Amino acid sequence: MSALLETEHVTHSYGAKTVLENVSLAVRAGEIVALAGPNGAGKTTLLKILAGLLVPRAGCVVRRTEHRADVAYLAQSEELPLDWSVREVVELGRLPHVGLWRALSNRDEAAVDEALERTGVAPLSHRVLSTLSGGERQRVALARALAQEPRILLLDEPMTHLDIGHQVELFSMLRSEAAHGVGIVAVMHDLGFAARSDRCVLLSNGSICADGSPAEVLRADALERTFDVAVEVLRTSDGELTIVPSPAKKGASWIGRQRSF
Amino acid sequence: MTLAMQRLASLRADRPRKARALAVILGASALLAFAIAVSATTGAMPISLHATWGALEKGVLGRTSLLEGAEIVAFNLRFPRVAMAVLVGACLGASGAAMQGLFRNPLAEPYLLGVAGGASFGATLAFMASGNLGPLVGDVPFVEGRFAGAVPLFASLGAAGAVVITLLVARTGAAGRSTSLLLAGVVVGAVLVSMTTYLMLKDADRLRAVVSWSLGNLASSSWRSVAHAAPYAIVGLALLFAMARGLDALQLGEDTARTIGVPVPALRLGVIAGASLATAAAVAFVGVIGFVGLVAPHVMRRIGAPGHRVLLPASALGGAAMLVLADLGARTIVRPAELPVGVLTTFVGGPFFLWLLRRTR
Repeated sequence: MSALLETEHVTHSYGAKTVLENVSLAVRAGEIVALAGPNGAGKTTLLKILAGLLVPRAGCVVRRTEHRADVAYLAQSEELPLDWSVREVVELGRLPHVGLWRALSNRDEAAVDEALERTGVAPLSHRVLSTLSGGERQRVALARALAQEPRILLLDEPMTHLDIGHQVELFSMLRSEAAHGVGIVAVMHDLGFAARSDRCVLLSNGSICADGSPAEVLRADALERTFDVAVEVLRTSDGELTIVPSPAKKGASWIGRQRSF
Repeated sequence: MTLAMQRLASLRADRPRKARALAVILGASALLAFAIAVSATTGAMPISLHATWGALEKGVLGRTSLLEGAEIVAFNLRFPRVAMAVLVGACLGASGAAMQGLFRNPLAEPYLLGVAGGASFGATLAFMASGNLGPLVGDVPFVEGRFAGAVPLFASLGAAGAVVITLLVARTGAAGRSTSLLLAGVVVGAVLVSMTTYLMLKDADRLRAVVSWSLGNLASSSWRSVAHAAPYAIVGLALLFAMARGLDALQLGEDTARTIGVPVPALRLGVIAGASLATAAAVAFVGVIGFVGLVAPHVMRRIGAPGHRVLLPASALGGAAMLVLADLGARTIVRPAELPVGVLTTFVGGPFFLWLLRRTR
């Protein structure tokens, strides 16, 4: 299956600091790609380049979608107007379809309804955002992105600030979107969820150091090299991978580990 | 569920919001109509509602030669003053709402980008140039003298110049565009205020006229000044209203707004142009009137109009009503003298704003 969105040998820098170097990444329909790596590895920059928010200094981005609404982006801690109702926020997702001056059509309203339903916030439709919990707000932000009816969903740390229950809930929503054919790229710090993705891409110092199935990428040696911390990769009773820090591991410097700057 | 059924369900579910938006617009319109009626009939010389209506009828039909007695006062003095208050209040209310939306900051106001500082500097230059003003000015802050026409012209040039300088300074900033604009606006405004103060002290004879102007006053409003200000105000307001949905999208952050198809730099420029045009038109003719542009949008947002397609017109209506009532107070509270309306809006608006903030918590 050909990729819907891909970067080809992309390099990017902020001033003199190179943050991405020769990165090639393809996203196909229906797969969840987890972008993992230490802070400052270039994950957010790569996501913004995929979203068209940054133009790479070198290399190119190939977009095989027809409409500008086909790529939806959810920023890290998306800003939400707290005095708005849920529905008002989700309706903004229709802007790529209706533009700045046309009113929402029946078709647009139906898409908003469906996004509210799929994220489970339809019963909160008329609630003001300030009255919602962090988990509910994140679902509203996702509903806004889904109202675009995107073919690609780019998410920057969607699990941040969510408790484990809401993290699981959000991940199952992403799984359901992928089942509907949406290609998903999500920056993930929780390697447990990265292990449940279809593909895992490990970034380090602006380069991709591993790209493949979670089992191929999330190996203890690769993770220790990338994150500079000792870990153990375990299998849960249902056969899924899980990654835990391992302070007792021989040779590991768990607290006060030294890094060279 | 079929599409039609889904639509029906969404319409039913959506009714409270649309009804609330309609109620906000109708309520603000009714308040404005009430303010206009009270203000037009009340003053140093009370004019009956009948005479006021008669004056309006004859004026609108172009039969001004038939005006008699109180109708003349109503048509030539009261109406232009009320019309100017409506125009200026609407400009300040809508510009305040747009600036708060643009900067996503509830403390943003129409004068943020140096408009007030620039207008005051321009007006002070005009006062200095018009040698026949100054200490001769009596109870009214500035009179229609030989050079009085230069004040609005210089004030609007000063306002436009200040915004252009702010934009140029912000371009060199390393911080985000919005932060750079805010900082540049504060700096340009402060420098212009210090330059204005220097000019005022250098020519102390004109001090009273300049201070009165800078405090805001609608006393010298005439049909001519209304006709001069109206085109700029209308174009500015129309530009702002056209940006409403873009401002809505901006509430999700600049990056997200861009990904849903909003041309953020063009939107920012459009809002700044619209707000500056409307605000400059307002301050050029009546001076700097504080708090209307800050309080009106807050009130409208609180009573249920957070989206800009409702918030902008509602803030325009609310700002207009506020200023009409404030002007009524300014010319009746210490009768027969007058308070500068800017003093009253700040005196009442400040504590009211604090009360509003306490209620928001």
